[in-house]
Amino acid sequence: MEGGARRLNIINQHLTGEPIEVVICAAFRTPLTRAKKGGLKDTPVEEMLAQLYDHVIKTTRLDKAKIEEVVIGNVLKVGSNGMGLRLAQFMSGFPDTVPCYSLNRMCASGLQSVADIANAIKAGQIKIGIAGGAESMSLFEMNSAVHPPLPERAFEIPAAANTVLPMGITSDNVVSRFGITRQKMDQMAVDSHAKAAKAQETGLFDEEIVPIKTVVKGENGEQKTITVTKDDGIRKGTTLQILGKLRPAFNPNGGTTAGNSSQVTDGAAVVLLASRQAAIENNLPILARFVSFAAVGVPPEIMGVGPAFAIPRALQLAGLTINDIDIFEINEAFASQATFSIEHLGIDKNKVNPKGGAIAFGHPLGCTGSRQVATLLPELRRTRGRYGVISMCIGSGMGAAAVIENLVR
Amino acid sequence: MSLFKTPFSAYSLAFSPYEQDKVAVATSQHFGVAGNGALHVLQLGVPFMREIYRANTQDNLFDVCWLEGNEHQILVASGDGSVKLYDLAYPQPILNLVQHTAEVFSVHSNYQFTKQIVSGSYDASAKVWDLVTGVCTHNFAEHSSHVYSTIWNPRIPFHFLSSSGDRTAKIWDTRQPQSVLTVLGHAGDVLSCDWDKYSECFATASTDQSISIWDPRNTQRAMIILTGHSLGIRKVKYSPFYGNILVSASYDMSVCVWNLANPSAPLIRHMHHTEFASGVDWNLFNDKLMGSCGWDGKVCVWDYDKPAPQV
Repeated sequence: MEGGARRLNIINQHLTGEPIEVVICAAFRTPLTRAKKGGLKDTPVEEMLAQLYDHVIKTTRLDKAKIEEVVIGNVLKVGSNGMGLRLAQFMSGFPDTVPCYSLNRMCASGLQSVADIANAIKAGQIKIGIAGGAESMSLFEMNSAVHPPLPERAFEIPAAANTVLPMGITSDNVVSRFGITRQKMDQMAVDSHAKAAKAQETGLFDEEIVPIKTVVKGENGEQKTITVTKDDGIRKGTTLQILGKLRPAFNPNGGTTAGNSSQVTDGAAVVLLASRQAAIENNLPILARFVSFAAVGVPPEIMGVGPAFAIPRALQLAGLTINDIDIFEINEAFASQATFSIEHLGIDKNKVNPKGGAIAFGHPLGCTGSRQVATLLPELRRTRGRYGVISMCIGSGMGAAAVIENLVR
Repeated sequence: MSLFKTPFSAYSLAFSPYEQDKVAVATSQHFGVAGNGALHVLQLGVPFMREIYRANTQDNLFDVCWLEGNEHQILVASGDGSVKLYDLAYPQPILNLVQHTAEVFSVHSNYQFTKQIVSGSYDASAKVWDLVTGVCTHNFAEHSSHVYSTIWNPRIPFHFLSSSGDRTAKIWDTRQPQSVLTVLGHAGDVLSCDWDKYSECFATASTDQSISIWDPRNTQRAMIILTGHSLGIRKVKYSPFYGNILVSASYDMSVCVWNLANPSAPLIRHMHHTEFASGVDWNLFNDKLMGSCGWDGKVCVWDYDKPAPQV
């Protein structure tokens, strides 16, 4: 019957054709600005999303009615902003026929949304969809991710208890367990700022950033209309000496400081995806192919090691190896975990975050995955690279990774 | 107009090059997934054909071809990996060619070297055989996936065309070890190919629902692309009388006749099959007469410009 199964498979393939290819047609982000200080501190995420939608539609000339699904990641707003998404769509003039949902895979929400849209396209449920992520860490506290009450019984189970450890403590756990030196961590932070500053000066972010027109409140409550155009967390001239003076922020003996951790930031990003056929039919730019996605679990007390285990799984699904990848966008939640992940996998440091990372311009939790897509694609095009990997760790002990193929080489 | 119903699913049919009223049909039990096969030789009649020969096989049959050198002999491609030669005077095959390591999906008799045949297989190879010795004389293993179709050139007896699941079609010269030409243009398996009898051009048909017409002098892109089928195309066949007329059979159950002078849509679409249409052929004596067969077991022969016979 083995032969029969083969014949049946062949006939099935004749009928269903090749698997549907998912392509990325646009990826944009807002500037990332410091929580409670930056230009987006008073801007609701709906406003950021609406302006990003406008920009996607304007640049691709896509008929809004052709969008069959919108998925946006969000972590901190109550209910992950499910209701707000609908509101944002109407702000951007979408017809009421376009559905949406929000999701929360915490720090990987922005990547999970891209994977969800890609999966829906692959399954033939939709042809064109928007993914993204949006986070206001000014308006919603980091602590709102852990929403009491939690069952007391859970805290008798070590792993369950560890899921609510403060992230900084998990970072210090990585430091102590894997012997990551303070110097290495500070060096990553110095490099991140230097790369980001250079990228900003040479205009490498211009392609991905959509300026956001918004209102900001002054100290005395006066309102001012401004246009935010730039990331504001990047500190040019950050040195090891400066960072070396910072005290450990969590464990007094740990290496994790405010300087070698990601910044608390506001921002949003969106990614337009389509089946290759729909992209052709609608004259959409075909920028890249969404190749694979994987999420894995790791011990919660060292949640930052996630990328070290998610990346190999995503590569395996793509049939690729570390050496096939030209650029890695690995979220710098903490220098500790990013350093560990890079070293554990033997990744060439020069391929990682070539335009800097979250230590320099911030980590708006739900936004980050989509933000990395927006940051990765222009750099792959500029350097004529083929494959890029996006990865991040996830609080409570997980990692996610995706492989993307640049098609504009 | 003439009809027959085979007990199994029909995969391929071929008109006799010797007699106007004879057609051979290869069939497979259980839709060609498993089970037995049968070779039928049918004599046309109105309204029904008459079976004048039948051979049952242990495995599914996927292709059939009359031997150019002998009016009583017929080749079949078998799911057991063999090519079998039948003589209408005997119930059992008179030759069993075993060398392929997977299902044989195509077989074709050389028009001029009448003792030479070519076969294509799911083992990704095309093989040329000498029927006198029963030996495989050439093994062409360049395709990277199933070979679905192998057709000799009607004018250059050394050349044949092959089409494959690797999305390519190749021209081979039996005097050379490698293929002499490869065309890549389809977005899916190339299930069928055929030569234009009046020029250098050839046609390929694919699961991507299109037929491409190629000029071997420009392999960069297809000269004409015919779209109109809504599922993969199983078979394409040039008219032996007119260089611009083709017929195709598709998984969408339709049989379409195309005029290359007006390629934007099929000239005629016949919807008489109630399962996948799998085989088509042109009669070599009557320029209008055409035959089709399908998984519904229907074998139909009729004038292509008239409505197809309904059972």
